[in-house]
Amino acid sequence: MEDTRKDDEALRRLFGEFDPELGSSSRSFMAGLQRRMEGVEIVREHTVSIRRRSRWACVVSALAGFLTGVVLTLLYPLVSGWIDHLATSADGSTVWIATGVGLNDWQLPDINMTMMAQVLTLLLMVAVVVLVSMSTYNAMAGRALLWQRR
Amino acid sequence: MTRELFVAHVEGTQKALRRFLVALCCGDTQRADDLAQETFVKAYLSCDGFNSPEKFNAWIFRIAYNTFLNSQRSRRCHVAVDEAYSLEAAECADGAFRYQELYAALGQLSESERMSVLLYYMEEYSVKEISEVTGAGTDAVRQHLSRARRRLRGILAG
Repeated sequence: MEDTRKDDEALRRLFGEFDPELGSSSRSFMAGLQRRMEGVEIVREHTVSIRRRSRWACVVSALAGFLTGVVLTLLYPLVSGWIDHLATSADGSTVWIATGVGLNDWQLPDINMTMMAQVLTLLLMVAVVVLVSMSTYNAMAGRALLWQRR
Repeated sequence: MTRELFVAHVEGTQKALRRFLVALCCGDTQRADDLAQETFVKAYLSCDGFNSPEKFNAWIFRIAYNTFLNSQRSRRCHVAVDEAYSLEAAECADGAFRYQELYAALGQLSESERMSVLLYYMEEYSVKEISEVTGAGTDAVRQHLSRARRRLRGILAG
């Protein structure tokens, strides 16, 4: 216990007097730190700006996708009628497929071609909406980046 | 916390932190200053959510400790006592060699023991405060201090 107290006092004295030479003056250290903090500020502002523009690009692309969906939905009866006509004429038809060696006779299976055609149309509509949304986003984000660089 | 307030706190803390890091880095002042800069930048990045100015010092020292540990992963600071006595002036940043023996002694301790000893004796933190900074339990801190005292006694007396 006595030893511990002596060690304690000795160490307190030792570290109390500890005053090493530092790598640079306080002024120089603070100047360096201020420069780094300014760099941090620039990056922070840039990140916030990019995030803001990304959000804007998301809104615009969602709107574009929505409008495309509305337009396609309005056109659907027209397209559907045309698809139905094609599907009806394809039911049970024989499709000739020309190959390099000769003509092959390929009989289409006996399934509800109208329903399948409608499903395909809907899938195509979804694909178009997604494509329009993604293209709009890329265009908006790319424009934002160019604007940023200017 | 605003930038001005943060800088004001830093101006009041930087010397003590740098002194502390010099001891933690066993005399490597360049490394200590680099760690100090990194610590303050990290603190600045997360100071928005910090609302206890009275705990600023403890918070900074905690960040400094974690920064030091991260940098230690790729390097070792343990030097044999014999090696320490043969350190050249270029390696020992304190040109007057005043603290060479102390740095060598500190180099013999583990990071957690060194941290506990420096916070306890240099910064006069209590065991509980050291526990909050290092994340170790109070019993663990007491063990670190006890082991460190034994090792330092043996080295400094010799």
